[in-house]
Amino acid sequence: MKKHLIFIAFAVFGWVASYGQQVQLHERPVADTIRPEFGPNLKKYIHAFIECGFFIPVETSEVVDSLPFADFVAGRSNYVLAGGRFKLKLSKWNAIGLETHLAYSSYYLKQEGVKTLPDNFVHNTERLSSFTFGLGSFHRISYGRKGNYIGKFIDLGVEGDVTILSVHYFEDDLVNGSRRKMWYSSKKFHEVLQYDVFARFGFNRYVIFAKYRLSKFFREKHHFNDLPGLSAGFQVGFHQ
Amino acid sequence: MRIFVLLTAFLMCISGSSIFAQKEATSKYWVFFTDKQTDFNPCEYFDPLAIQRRLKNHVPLADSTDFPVNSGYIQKVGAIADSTSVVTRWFNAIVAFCSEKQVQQIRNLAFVKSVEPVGGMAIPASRKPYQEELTSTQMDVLKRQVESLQGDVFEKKGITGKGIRIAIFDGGFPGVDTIPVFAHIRKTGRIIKTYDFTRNKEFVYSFSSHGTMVMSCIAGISGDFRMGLATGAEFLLARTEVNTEPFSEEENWLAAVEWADKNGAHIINSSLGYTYHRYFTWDMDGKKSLVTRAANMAASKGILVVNAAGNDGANGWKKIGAPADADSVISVGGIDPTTDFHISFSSYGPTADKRLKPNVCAFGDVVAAGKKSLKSVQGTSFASPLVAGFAACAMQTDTTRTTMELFREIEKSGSLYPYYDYAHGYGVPQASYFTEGRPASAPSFEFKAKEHSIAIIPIAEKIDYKKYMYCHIEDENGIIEEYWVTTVNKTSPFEIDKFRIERGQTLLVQYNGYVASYKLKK
Repeated sequence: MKKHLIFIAFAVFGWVASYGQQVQLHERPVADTIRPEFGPNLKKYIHAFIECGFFIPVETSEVVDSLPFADFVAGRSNYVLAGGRFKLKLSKWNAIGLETHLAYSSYYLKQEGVKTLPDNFVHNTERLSSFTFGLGSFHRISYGRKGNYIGKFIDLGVEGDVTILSVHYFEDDLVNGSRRKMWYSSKKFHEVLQYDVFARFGFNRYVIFAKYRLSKFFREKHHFNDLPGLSAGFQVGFHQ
Repeated sequence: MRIFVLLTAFLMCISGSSIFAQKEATSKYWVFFTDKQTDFNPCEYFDPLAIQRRLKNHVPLADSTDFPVNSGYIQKVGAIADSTSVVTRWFNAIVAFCSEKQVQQIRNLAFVKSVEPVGGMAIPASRKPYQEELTSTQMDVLKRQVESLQGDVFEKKGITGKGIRIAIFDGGFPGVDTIPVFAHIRKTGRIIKTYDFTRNKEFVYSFSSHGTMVMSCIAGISGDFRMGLATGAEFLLARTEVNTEPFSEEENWLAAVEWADKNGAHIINSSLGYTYHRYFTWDMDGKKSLVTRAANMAASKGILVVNAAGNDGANGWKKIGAPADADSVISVGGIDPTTDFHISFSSYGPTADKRLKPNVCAFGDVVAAGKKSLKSVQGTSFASPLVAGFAACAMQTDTTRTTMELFREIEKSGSLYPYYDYAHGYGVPQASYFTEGRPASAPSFEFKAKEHSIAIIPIAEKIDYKKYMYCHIEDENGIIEEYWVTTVNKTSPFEIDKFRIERGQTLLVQYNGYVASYKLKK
């Protein structure tokens, strides 16, 4: 009991002692005279963003009938990524930037019709998924009157992705009624380095974009018909 | 690849539709003219109160800025443009909707001085209401939002802003025509005129209830409690903002201020601020924005403009917005009723050219009348009308004062005066200043120079734990370099390191009504 009383006495004393001349507000406006260089529409700016894109099935003349082929399920085949962006303002309307991201993408392969890629087994579900790390650069053209605000812009750029992990995943119903889920590394199918060009239209933090993969998705040596490289989606920037 | 190009082109088209909308189709432009019509009779155009106000402020009944815009010019521009909207006498301009090609045609007209795009948005300086029932805490705030300005002093003397005409610019006034909070105003027909500048109609009793809440902080009465001080004032209600969380456009503000001038407004309360959407902090110099210049021009015509400092104190912008940066506008910061000093979101001064802003402050967390019930709301939007109501009462105490004299007197009535800082201005205006003058205050602290610091030592018998000590270091031009607000809980000194104070600078301290300075000699 005595110990408790001593503890309480010390606590109360400490609480009272802490109430000296406590500063509630302290400002140094003189420091504000330095014109900032960091801001949404200032010299430099960094912000994070998330993105969601959907692969778009398009028929191309590049398909060779004799080579393995698969269609993917539009809508389900998509990717999400999170990244950071650095923007350097060059003039009132022009800026350049660098960005980096981590992405997770999945091509869900259609199981009906002719499907020979990566093999001709028909599964309940089959997808090729990958985690990638990417770097990109862009040129931004801004327009519209604005203050320290990103506002409206058009970006044109390129980006490259290195595959960190890729998986060939499939599910099958077995004769005994159970379901089998299998996955194994599919890195052997993929080109490790992939690159694309993109165009974006943004209104401040909301952005829509289209991307086109210039590189092959599958390694040349497999002689697969490549998956279409077009995608489109939206992006949300984390800034004011 | 071909499809990517097509998709990119599609995106470009979408974006282009916005770009080209500015350049080709429906963009708005200010068209400024070289000269004006000179046949103008001020007695026909202005309301008698506007004439009186001009006489009182020793400004001419009319000057060239009041002359009408040449109607022939308006017609000729109208014939080229898709359409025209606001016409401003003060700036001798109209707003025209036209394409780039039409702009070129208009620029070629001999009487056109310049054509400039209209753009930008404003955010009303307020936050969303968040409670509907009046709790005991809310009741306490309701009483104190008036008491903090010494509203009872005015009330005892029967000063209610009677005969003073206040124009309110906001996003809408639903309920002002129906709810009991404004019954005393309606009964005596003191809503003189209304106009919706966003739709060119007289009806304003709909849309955002922001204006309703603002008006209640000027003149509302709920049961036995006054919500603002100017319960006897007259009102001009202008809807200038478009949405509920409005983005507003400057031309509506400009048109409304001329309308208020025409209709005899003594005071304008405006609770919006243009900030980062259109400007940089260094643009807040009292000259850059059209709305700031319009506010200054209103002041030059004898109208007292009261504007919210803004709610950007806790975000990246931090500073006041336009038109609170205008030198002739009373910019009102917010204080927190629970702490009685700066409320975190209230924007800070000074202006970009280092003038003192905000000028004064009031509660930034109040109980106001919404469309359906009383509500707690936060924002300097509501500090501004509290001061506008105060200004109306102060104006009533001496109707011979000019508007700028009243402006200075309101600053002098501040609870901290002659101390000031960039969070509180001169503090909360006090009614007793206008009825009894400033009371003398005995020293409540003393300075003691130590080897490495200057100690500010409270005098034991003057210690009031509810009061804060305010200190700032100012340079020879009165520009503050650093300031503090501290609690005073015992006689231990508040010490400021000497290295912080350069030779020639002054340390100014306010505590419990007493202000003293300490200067390091050169």
